[in-house]
Amino acid sequence: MRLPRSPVPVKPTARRGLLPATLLLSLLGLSLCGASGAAAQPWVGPSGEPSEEAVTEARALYARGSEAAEEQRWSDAIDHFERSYSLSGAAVALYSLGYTLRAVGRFRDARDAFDQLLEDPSVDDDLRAQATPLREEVADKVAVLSLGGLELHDDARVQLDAVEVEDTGQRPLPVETDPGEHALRVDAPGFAPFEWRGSLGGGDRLTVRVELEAASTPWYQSPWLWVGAGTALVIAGIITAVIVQGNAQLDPRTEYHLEL
Amino acid sequence: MRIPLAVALTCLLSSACAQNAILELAIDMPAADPLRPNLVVQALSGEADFSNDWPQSQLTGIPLDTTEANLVEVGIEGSGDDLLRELNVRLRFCEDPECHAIADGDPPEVWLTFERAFYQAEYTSYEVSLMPPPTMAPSAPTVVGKCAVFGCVEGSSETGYCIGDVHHCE
Repeated sequence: MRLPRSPVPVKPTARRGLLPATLLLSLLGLSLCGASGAAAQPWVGPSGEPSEEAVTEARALYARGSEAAEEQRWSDAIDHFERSYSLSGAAVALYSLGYTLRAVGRFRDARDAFDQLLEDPSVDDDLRAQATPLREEVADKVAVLSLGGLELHDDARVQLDAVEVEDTGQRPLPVETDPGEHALRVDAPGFAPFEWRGSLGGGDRLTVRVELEAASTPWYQSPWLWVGAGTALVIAGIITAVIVQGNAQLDPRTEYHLEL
Repeated sequence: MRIPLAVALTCLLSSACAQNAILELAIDMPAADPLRPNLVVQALSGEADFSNDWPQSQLTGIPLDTTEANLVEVGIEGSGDDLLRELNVRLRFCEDPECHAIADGDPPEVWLTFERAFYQAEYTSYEVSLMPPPTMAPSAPTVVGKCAVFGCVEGSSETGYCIGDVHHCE
C-alpha cells in the first residue's frame, strides 16, 4: 500500500516510501484549507481553525500513520490517521484513513470515510478523483443482511457480532457488515432469542428470516413446580407429624419408672 | 413458597406434642426398717380398691437404705384415659423385694389418691414425706388435690399450683 505523496493524493500503485517532510507539510497545509466540520459524521475534525501546535502534531501523526501503513501495522496506522484528522481535519488524513480501512477489509468503514470525504465540497478535484473509484469499490464489497420477520417486533433488539444494531424501522431491516463469519442475535420480550451464524462474501446480499418463537418458561420457574413442591412438603410434614406424633413420648427422668 | 413451608413447619412442631404424661413421685423418708428394706410401688388409675393387690402395675424391689435417710424418686407414666382419671398409688415396705415373704402378709403401706396427676405431655411431681414412716396399712387413702401436684410452673408454692381451680398444666 502506498499513501498519497504528491501535493495532491495520487492513486496508489505500489509500495513506496513515505512522503518527504516538506511535501507532507505542504500537503497538510493545502488540505487544511478544506477542513470539514461535519460533526454528524463518524470522524470529526476540529471545530474551527486548528492551532499551529495541532497542525504540527497532526503532521507528525500522519507521518507515523504512513510509516505504520508501510509496515502493515494497520491498527496503528488507522489510529494515527484518525487522530491526525481529528486534530487537523485534513482531507488527506481522511483519505488515508479510508484507504487503510479498505486495506484491512473494513469496507463499510472505508466507504463511510470516503463518503465523508466526498461530501466535503472543499476537497479538491484531484483528491476527489482518487477517492471516488475507491469509494465505489469498497461500497460494492459491503455485505448486507436483510432481516425479515421483524414487522411485528418493533421492540426487538438486534445484535450482529455482539454489537447492537440500530433499528431504523425499515422492514426488512438492512444490516450492513463486512465479509466474513458473522453471528446474529435477535431478542424480543416474551420470545426466545433468535440466532443465526453464517459467512458472507464481499457484496453479498442475504435475506435472513427472523422467526421468533414464544419463550417457554424454564422448568424451575414454573409456578406449578413450586405449588407441587410446596404440596409435597406439606404432605411430607403431615406424614412426619403423624409418625412422630405416634412415637412422641415423654422420657422417664427418674431412676425408677412405673408405666400404667 | 413461604406458606407451604410454614404449614409444614407447624405440622412438624405440633408433632412434638407427646401423648403421655409422667408424675415424678419423690419419697422422702428416714432410714428404713432393717426388717423391711424393700419398697414396692403399685399404681392404678381410676377407681381402685386398696384392699386388693394390683400386681399388674407394680414396681418391685426398690432397695432402701437402712442406715441413712432415703429419697427415692419414682416416675409413674400414664397415657390415654389415665390422664383424666384419678391416680392411686400404694407404697409398700417389705422384707422381700416382691413382698412375698411371710412377714410381708400385712406390711406397712402408704395409700395415695391423686385427684389428678397427669397432664398430657407434661411432667408433674409430688413429694411424699414419710416422717415418721408408716407402721401399718391405713384404713383409707390420703387424697391429694390436683392443686397440690407441682407442674407447669417455676418455683414452689405453699398455696398450690392452680389459679383458682385451674391447674397450671390445664
